[in-house]
Amino acid sequence: MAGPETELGPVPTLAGVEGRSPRELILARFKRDKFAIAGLIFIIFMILFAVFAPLIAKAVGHEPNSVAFLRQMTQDNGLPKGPSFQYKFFFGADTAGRDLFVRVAYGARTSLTIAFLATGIAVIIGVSAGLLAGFYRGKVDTVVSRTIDVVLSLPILLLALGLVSACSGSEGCLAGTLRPGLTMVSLVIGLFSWPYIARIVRGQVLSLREKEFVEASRAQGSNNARIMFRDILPNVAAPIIVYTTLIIPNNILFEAALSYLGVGVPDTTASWGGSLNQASGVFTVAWWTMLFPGLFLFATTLAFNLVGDGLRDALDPRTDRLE
Amino acid sequence: MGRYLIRRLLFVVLVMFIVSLLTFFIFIKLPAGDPVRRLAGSRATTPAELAAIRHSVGLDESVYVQYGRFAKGLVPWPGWFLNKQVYYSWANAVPVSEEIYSRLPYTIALTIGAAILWLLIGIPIGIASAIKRGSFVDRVGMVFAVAGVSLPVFWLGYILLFVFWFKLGWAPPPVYPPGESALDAVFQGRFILPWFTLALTSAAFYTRMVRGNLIETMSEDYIRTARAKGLSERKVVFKHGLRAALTPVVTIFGLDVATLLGGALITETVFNIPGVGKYTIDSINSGNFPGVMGVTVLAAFFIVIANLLVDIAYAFLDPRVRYE
Amino acid sequence: MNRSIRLLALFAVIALVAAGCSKSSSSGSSGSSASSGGSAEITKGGTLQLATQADVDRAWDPAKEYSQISFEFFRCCLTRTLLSTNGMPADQGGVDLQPDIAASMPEVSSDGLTWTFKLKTGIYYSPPFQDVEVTSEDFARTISRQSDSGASANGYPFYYSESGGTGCGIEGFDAAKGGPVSGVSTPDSQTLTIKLSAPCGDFGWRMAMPAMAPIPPVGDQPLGWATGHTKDYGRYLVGTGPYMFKGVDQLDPNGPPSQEPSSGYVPGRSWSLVRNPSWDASTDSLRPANVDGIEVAVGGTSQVLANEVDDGTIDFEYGGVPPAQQIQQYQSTGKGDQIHVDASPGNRYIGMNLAQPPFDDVNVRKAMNWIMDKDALRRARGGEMFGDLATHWFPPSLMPGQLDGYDPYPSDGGTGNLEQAKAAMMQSKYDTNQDGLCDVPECKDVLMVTDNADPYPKQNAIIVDAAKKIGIELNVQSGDRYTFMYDKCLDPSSHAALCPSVGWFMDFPDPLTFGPPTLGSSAIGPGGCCNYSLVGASPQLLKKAGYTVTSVPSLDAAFNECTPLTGDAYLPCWAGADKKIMEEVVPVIPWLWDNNVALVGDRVQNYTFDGFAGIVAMDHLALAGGGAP
Repeated sequence: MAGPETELGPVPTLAGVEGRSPRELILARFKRDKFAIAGLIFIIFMILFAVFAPLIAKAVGHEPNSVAFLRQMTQDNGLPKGPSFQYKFFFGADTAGRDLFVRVAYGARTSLTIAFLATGIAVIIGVSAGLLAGFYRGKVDTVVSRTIDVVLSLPILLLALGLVSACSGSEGCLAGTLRPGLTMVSLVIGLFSWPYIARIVRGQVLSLREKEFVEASRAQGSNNARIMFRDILPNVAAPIIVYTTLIIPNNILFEAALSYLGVGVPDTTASWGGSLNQASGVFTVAWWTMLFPGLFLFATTLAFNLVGDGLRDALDPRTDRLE
Repeated sequence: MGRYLIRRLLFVVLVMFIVSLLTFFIFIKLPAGDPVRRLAGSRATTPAELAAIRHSVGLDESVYVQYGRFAKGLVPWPGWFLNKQVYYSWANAVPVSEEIYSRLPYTIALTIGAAILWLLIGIPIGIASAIKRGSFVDRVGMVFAVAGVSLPVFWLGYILLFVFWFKLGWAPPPVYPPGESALDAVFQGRFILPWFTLALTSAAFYTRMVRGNLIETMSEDYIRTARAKGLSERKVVFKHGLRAALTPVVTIFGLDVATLLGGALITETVFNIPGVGKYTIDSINSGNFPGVMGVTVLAAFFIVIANLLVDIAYAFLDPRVRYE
Repeated sequence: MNRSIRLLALFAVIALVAAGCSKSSSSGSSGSSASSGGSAEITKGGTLQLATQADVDRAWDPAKEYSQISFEFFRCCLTRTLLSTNGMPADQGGVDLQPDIAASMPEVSSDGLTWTFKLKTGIYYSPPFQDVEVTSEDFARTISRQSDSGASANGYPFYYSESGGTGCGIEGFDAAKGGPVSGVSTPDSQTLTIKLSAPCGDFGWRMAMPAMAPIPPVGDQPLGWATGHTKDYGRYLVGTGPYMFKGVDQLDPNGPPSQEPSSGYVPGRSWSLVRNPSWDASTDSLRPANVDGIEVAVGGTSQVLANEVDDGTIDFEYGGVPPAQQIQQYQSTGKGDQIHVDASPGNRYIGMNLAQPPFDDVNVRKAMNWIMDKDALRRARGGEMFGDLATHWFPPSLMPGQLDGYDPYPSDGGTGNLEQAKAAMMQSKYDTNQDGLCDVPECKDVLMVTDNADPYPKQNAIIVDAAKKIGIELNVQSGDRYTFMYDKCLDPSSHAALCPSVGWFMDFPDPLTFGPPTLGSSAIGPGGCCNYSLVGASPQLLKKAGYTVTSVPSLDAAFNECTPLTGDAYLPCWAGADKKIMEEVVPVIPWLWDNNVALVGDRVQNYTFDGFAGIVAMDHLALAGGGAP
């Protein structure tokens, strides 16, 4: 399964994840993976960083959109100045003279919110589609599978660009139902990432539905819904969790890419990708504008990848990735 | 085989149709602002003038007619495909086909160079990691891999530029003089940093894939049989293991190359490469819808064709597939 | 359409002003650059290598193009007109009209209605029309073409139309529809007589526009060489300037309109000019034309083109603003003399909507003028180099000796005066507790519509911060300049309260061009431009646009008082209008009088600033050593 757009970061394959390993075993294996633990700790730290962003802003005394220190933190020709402890601009100023440290903190909010929201949307749609397709098979499966195939064939970065920029005007689009901002971007990203989960779930459901415990459940008189939700779904939970964790870094990069290309959240909402967009013009003389947002983006993505890898390895004893 | 082919071709048509519909809807129908306003440019215009411009680009016709005109230009038939009557830039009347074809060499240069690099980097590391599983080599390889897939292209590119161009002066500036052909640009070394940027982030993925596949393959029964037969480890790996491990790589590789040919939007933006991807971004920003339509469909076209070719190749290589 | 032509012209120029060319007006502030050929030795020859960010709008058709970039190319290089300017700064005659193809300045009848031009002889078109001499019929032809709405530009014909809203036009222009115009007559091939519908003091300027470039005859075709080229005449353009598009000489004068166009203009990619062999320097006192050719590559961002200049790939970026870091780099490496800063007659301002609370209260508008940190806005633009802080409306260069030192809202370094701003707010009905801050709901969620292209986003934060200090909370919405910003700012029913990403540029050196086109009631949109403040809007219009406010102040009377005046009474009248604008009506917050900043490579010599077009004059440039490597 190829990455949607190679530059966004590919979606890794999921080989043979068992759905029924005992929980303690999994946890133990996960704990042994030092990299995964490190990633998890970093994620927690990032979440705290994002949650406490307003407190951080208050502590250093600058809001993310404030230009109160414009004269102190920019040169006379408007170019930003670098890190300054005197004015508590720990990462320096961005191209508009705002506090980059505070903006990176708020950018964490944007990235994490969109990542979780978009992934959540993708999971909801993907699991539903996969369940239905795998369980009912036949026509339902054909429709869902074809849809998955089509969506996977779309140039998603392009279309996402178009969708987000189309809906970025003040009235939004679809008669105002989609307004510009985090939610809209999350929706678009989610709409393009659900097929991966759907495919996995479908595959799992297809094999699970033949197993004996399903037959037993049916013999007991359970209807389809019960079987799907009580019997099958719990057993697909593990691969869903793993896959979800692996999708998150992709979605983080997706949102950052959209912001970098100039569409996405508005400028008043801090975003790592947006900061990189602004840095692209001045990075030769203002390295901090490029280094810090990118570093946090990289580290966060890396952390999620490590955790995802760790989970996958914990759930699949055959393919040891990292010990 | 024939039926399989036909089914796949029909799927290609379906996807192209959907892509064209989506693109039309997203880029032309969805946006709130009036595209004619942008075409009118900097001056104020009376409603009458706006209407005249709207008529000249055909935006006053019904949605179906408009779509029909665009759709006609997507059929790969000579005279129809990206025809000049519909597919011309609304701003300056340049045919879209001309614009795309003149930019394609740059995108091709970028793609081919990067592809070679990432194969050369990614696959050997993956193999080494798989063979020396658990060792230090494996660790390093895996760190490289996971770091590579986490690196944003639009950060790595600037870092490389900052270090190798701005500070060290080893690489030429991210400038592609219009008088210079893509080939000349390659020889001038202008693609080196873009190649590495793209390759480093992609290679990582292939490393993981190859390592995973190879490890799995090597634990398969027939490998054990080969070992039991007394074949040297080397032969076991390279003759039997690799072939099975690398086959899926071919699929992915085909798709990746096809995707990039449709325009490596981000890389081209970072390095200002005048390729198809940059043209896409410029077209979106300037409201040149025929350009956007043309490129989007071209990109989708590459992808589905690559899919199709790979599937055909698989069908030939693996008879089981045909009877799906 | 009831909008004055100048509006439309200026509106076009705003786009360029915004796109990065800063034009400004001040009275020669920072270092001038017009070395009029005295100092260095000029060697003719070589080809200028340039690049520009975007292509022209209308494929180089002189009847349609109205932008600074194209206008300058026409004037310097491609087309000569009856009257023209010399491409020098204002203090060296750059805004004085002079005869070009005309042998002398026109004769105007005593009632001001009849203008007679006498042509020079011996002026020939470029190949393939090298044997064709320019005659008065060629000008009649181009006027006819301009009257064809299919061939002319959006709004351009209003310069010549009787009903265009400028108060005067050529008789019979509206009825001609592409055919002969009754007010135009050619008694002989060297004489052109134009009858106006009313006296037009500035008619000379109108005849200097590129649209009035002559069109060579072909057989008995009424539109001559332009026949069949309603949409793409630029690709076949045959002119009389020192240069021509490459490949024009290959065209067949008797060929069909569908023949291959000249290769000199590849839309979206390049403009290539070579010397026009028919151009005789002895007939042209305005243009030195030192270089042999001009190559312009189209495309690239400001940063990319800056890199190309550093690299030596191009000589300079045409029509753009150099990035701050490049300027800084050149200044610190001893290349400061490659940076040219010229006063340019234009301004930048923030428009306030008189009908939208809280700006319907003049005290709030005054408070905004007090509080605005103009210095920070300029800093976001690039700093002091980019112009003087504006203290009143009309640029000083248009009002010599009138308003020097007039600054109704002074503050320390232009950074804003909080005390005075609060004092002004206290007079407002929106400050209910008299603390100097606005505290009613109307001051929350106030809509500000901006351009999302650099450097406007940087300025948004500055304006938001300033407004907050007097209790106004702005809701910033930014988007594309054309499909979003102009739409909203020019549509009264959008209720946009602030439009800050705007500026104005003179059409010709007359304060009138800064009056009705920006603050007159006929300039209110939609469909018109550029009165964002709704000054002078009628109660009916306000009601229709959904405002609760029923009347707003008007400046029409003040302007109408000044327009018919002549002589010594003229400028003082406009000075009075300025005071009325700044102290009574206060519809705007002017903050900058632009400078044009250009950065050229080291090959370029004799950099000259065209004070009329506000951009570099390429007919004066030379290359070091004649372009030898």
